[in-house]
Amino acid sequence: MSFKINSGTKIFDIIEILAESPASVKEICLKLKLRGIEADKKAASKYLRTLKRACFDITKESGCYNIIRTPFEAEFDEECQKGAEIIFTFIGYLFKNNETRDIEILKLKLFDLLKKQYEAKDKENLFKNNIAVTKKVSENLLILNKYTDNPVFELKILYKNKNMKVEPKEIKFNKNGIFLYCRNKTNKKKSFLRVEYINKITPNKTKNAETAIKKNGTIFKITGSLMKNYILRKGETAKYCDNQVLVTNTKEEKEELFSRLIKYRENCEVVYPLSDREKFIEKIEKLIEYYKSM
Amino acid sequence: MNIKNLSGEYPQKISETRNRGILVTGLRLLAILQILQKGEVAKNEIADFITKEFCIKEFSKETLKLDINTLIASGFEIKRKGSGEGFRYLLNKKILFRKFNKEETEILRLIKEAALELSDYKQILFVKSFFEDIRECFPCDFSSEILDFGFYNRVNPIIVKKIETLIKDKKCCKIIYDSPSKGKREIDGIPDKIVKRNGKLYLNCYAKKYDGKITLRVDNIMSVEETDKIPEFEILYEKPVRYTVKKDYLENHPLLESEKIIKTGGKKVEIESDEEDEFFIIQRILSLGTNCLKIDNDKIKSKAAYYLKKTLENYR
Repeated sequence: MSFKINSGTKIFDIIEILAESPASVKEICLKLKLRGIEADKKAASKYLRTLKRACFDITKESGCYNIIRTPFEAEFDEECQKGAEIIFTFIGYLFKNNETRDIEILKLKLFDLLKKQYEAKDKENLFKNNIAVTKKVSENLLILNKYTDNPVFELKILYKNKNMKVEPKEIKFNKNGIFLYCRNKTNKKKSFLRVEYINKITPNKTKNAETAIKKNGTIFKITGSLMKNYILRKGETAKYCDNQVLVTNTKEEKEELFSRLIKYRENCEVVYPLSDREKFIEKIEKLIEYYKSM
Repeated sequence: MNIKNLSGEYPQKISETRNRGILVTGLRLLAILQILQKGEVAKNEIADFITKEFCIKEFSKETLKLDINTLIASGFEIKRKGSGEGFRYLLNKKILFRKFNKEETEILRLIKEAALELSDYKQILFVKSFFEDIRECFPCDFSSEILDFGFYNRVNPIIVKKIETLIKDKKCCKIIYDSPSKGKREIDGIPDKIVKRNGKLYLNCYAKKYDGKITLRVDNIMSVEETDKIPEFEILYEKPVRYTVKKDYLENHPLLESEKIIKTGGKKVEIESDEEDEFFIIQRILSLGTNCLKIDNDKIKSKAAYYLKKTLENYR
């Protein structure tokens, strides 16, 4: 059944535009045009006034409008609330000493989403955490997070007074601390660097995106019970054929990957490239001899 | 429809001024959503709200009908109840006029990674449930990554809760398990504990049929039902296994939850593992490779060597 609708829906377009990122009146007009809505500056201002009239809290900073609060209060069940509280705890732990705009806005948005549940509580108390990383770790994390798993960039860093060039792979959280798992470009080995000792991070674009993606990986075959239980990791793709699964891994360092694959025993076989297959066989043979001598 | 004139709160002149230069139809739509999120309402209550709170008076019954249709066409799930329930309207889905941008989503992804590593499984399931509830707030390009909880995507929280209750009450149960190697099977046993290993969840369970003890991967458990059977077997506890590992290896690699350091000396560290399942001890030993200097259990050592030989057969 088709029915008539009215023209007021434009208001949802403008909410969506502003909810994504702050925008100036000119940008709002452009984005509306992309959605097929013709609007001049006057019309855009009219929409903004409408939102304010509907109790949306909108701020203007450097010519850009941003929705800070909405009058909509969603209700979350107990489990979701617990989940949100864990997120608050981690924000407190990782970013307590960080007052960057990104973090402050993130806190406001989360608080706004959950304000029905927490209206009686003080916002800052929600993000309170007695254990928190230092300001430096927090700042480093925000920078490193942008460049990990991005093959286009390498980072120049000062680590324990040594200049290093690294290819950042992943931020690893552990009870002992927070580490940057990376490939050291100087000695071509993987390293775990404590985030707190990292200084002077300078990103350096080394490759273009196309060549970076073309990196070849290790292909291994999984069979038997592992086929059903295997969970693909980041950077892995799988292809099913002839009752076996071929997994291509482009992300893990070989040493790390082989240590993992060896524990899958006869259910896993390194297939390609042949050099990797031979290295893996060598590793197994070496280990058999090693156990004999142990 | 009789729309009350409640302009006492907003005198005529002021209300007119307030609504001058705004998109009245847009304001009306937002007003309807605001009242709907408070609970189910009838059309005349909606009209009252619009008039009282937003001083909009010039609209008819047909206009409201058109507005509600517009909201439905815009994707809001509004249900109209039948005559028995006074033709009331009900909003079926949360309204989340919030969107995290790319940078904020990246920060939340980092927090998710921290939670996956540092939190216990219950907390991880809560975070997952929260992220799923606010999935609309994430940009489309990033939502699959932020909602990817790896192993936890496969876990059924209802089954986990049932198991937890059985563990707490020390009750017997019947488990339908979808074994990756043997297919579906029934297991009668007593669940002992849920253990997190390498980011996955396992249930340690005592079952007579399987030499007293069995480890089941939680995502393969299809159902759990309490039974009134009395366990007829003696629960045997394995002795902890000890092994010695290179000290530099441990500087860069974390200990497993089941491991604790017993002794540190020179370049070696002695570790004790209270892992009860031999399968996982052997897995750990194999992944340690030559970083493992000594294994204080000949059975484990010879089994590790046996499995390596078997693996090597694949290549010949």
